[in-house]
Amino acid sequence: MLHSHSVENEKFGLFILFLNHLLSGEKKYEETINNVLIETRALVKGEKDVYTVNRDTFPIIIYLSKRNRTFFEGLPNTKSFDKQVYTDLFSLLDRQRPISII
Amino acid sequence: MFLNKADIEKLLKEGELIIKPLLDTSQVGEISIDFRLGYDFLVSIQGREPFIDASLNNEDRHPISSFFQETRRNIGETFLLHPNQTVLTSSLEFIKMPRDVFAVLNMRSSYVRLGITIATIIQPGYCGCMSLELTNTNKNAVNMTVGAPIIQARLYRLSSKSNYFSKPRKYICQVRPQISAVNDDGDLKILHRIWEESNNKIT
Amino acid sequence: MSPRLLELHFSQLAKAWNKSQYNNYSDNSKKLYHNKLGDLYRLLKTEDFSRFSQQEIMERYDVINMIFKSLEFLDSSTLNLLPFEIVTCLDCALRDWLQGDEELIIVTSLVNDINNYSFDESLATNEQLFKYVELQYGIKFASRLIQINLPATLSRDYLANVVLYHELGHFIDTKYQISRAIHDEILEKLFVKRKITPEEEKELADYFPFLENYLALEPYYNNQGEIKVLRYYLAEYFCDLFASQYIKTCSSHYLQYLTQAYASQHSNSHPSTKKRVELTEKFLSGDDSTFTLSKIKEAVNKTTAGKSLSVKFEEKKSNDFINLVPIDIENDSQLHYLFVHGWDLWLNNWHLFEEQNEMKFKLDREKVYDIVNSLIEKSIGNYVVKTNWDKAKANVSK
Repeated sequence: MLHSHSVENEKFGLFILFLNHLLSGEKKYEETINNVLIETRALVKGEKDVYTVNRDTFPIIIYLSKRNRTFFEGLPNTKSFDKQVYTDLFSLLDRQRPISII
Repeated sequence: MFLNKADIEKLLKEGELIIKPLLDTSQVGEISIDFRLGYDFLVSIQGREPFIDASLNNEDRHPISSFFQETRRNIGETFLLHPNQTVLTSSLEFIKMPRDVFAVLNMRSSYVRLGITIATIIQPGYCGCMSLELTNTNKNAVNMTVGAPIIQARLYRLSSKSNYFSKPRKYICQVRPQISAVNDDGDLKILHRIWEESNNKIT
Repeated sequence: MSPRLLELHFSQLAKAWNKSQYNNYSDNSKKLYHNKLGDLYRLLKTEDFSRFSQQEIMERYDVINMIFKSLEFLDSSTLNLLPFEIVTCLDCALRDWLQGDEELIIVTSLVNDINNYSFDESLATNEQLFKYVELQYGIKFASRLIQINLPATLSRDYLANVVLYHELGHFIDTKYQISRAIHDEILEKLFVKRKITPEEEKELADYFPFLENYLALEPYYNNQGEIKVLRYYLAEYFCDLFASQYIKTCSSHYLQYLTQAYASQHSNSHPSTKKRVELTEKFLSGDDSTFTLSKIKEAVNKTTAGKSLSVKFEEKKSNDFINLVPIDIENDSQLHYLFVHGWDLWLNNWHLFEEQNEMKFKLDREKVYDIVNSLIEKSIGNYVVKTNWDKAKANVSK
């Protein structure tokens, strides 16, 4: 269990780093970020469920879907997004995540 | 009575002699069976102690296991036998001998010519991989392939059946080379007692 | 983090790399992975850390950790004491659960702790790290490493090593996020949709006693979005079922041995042994009436894009062990059943060794232990040897 939680934290950390790169204009990180946006959008819209969204980025998708459902419901049905979306995404991630005590 | 190919094949067919795995039936020759080098080894190493003590007279003796190091290879890999080195290994094949047949093991001549020697017998009723003590008497190291047929076994029939399990056995279904259990020898305990008495070590 | 701390971290890596760079591997996959590590290390070495932003420092820190971890895994596997028999069995099971052309390399670490049976999957379940290395350095790793830890003194104890099937289950669970997904669905059912039948409620309380008064947990759910203990319990149930696909009730035997005094006690990380055994027995008997079991089966099917929890062992009846010879295994499914044979002998049939082989003495427990484990080991070894031999022979003949 300890391992899986450490890996989960690393995933979040890396994802935020990727997003920073993208916001700095590095397009090569776009695909990874977009995949998470698309999967989260699909989850909140009911096109996918907790069993069928991407497994590797699952913790991030679930967190984002609960963090601001409306944001993802309103995402355009495209495979690419403008910079404001990424900026808004960053603000969803750049805060302390809840700590589970039980 | 010395067994030939037909005798050996009959024993195999009837399940009296079991060889697992028998990778190639050509291992059964006209007067012998070839067995292969297994993948587990106990290599003798030089430790801090100057000698292996096969007696019980030294209370501070190091265990015999400290003079050997375990190592494994995959089939097809090689094992280097250094000059004058003795290595404990076992056959690739697990065998179960008939109760009235024993086997005499020698190296196949290709390996004898390289200076690798062995001489051991396998008792009637024995079950397990065959323990092999290989010594390299060549001045050069010899690189051997795990799985290569290196041993030749000649089989002899006794006049009556014996029971391998008529007394407790140290090695049953052994599948890897085992360290010598010489210090467990019952006679050594008697001899040790004699030594203690003659040297006034009994209080 | 100050660049100087990153320099320190890299200097430590340089020491480790100097020691490992000439490692030899007979397995080409490990060699290729090692070569990629070398490429990555050399690229890192050329970078000037003093010019890095905080973000770049954090990224390099993660990459250095990845190299360290990889070396740790690979170094332990160069020792020539590989317990390839148990690795073969686990590898066979693992391959049932991989997708497409995924390549996973199992390495082993023999540890001193007699209770340490585990998988370290940290390098195999973080794709983003490998993606970063690919994007930043142009280095693509074709395979992933997964390390099995087992106690050195028990590396040949096949009766105990059955727990590794359960541990493999944890890896599969993490890879596909199975228990996590079920956890989310159950909590949504309880606290969001509020759609739970009285039967489901009763059963949930039975298998997850902390859910008996689940409404008291609602504030935790609202605040944290999860109930950790539910995740843990689901994971344990899943792993028990996963293992039983291959080794029937064997891991239950060892589990009961480990938890004998506390069989009906549940903890904050594990369900009671009693309930774990019960669920496993329902699965093996084909009883799908349990909500928990059917939910786990459904989750497996969906998260793995079609794979299923099902009996994967093939029963092979044989008296060979009693006759003190290895069993001839014909396929992977029969391989796993060797552990069932071993446990059956150990639990029920010591006397058969003596009777069948006309032993004039009583076999002591250490002897029976050696015999059972040796026969399992040789049966697996023979299967591996024969399979490789037949395959190579066919290729040589072409």
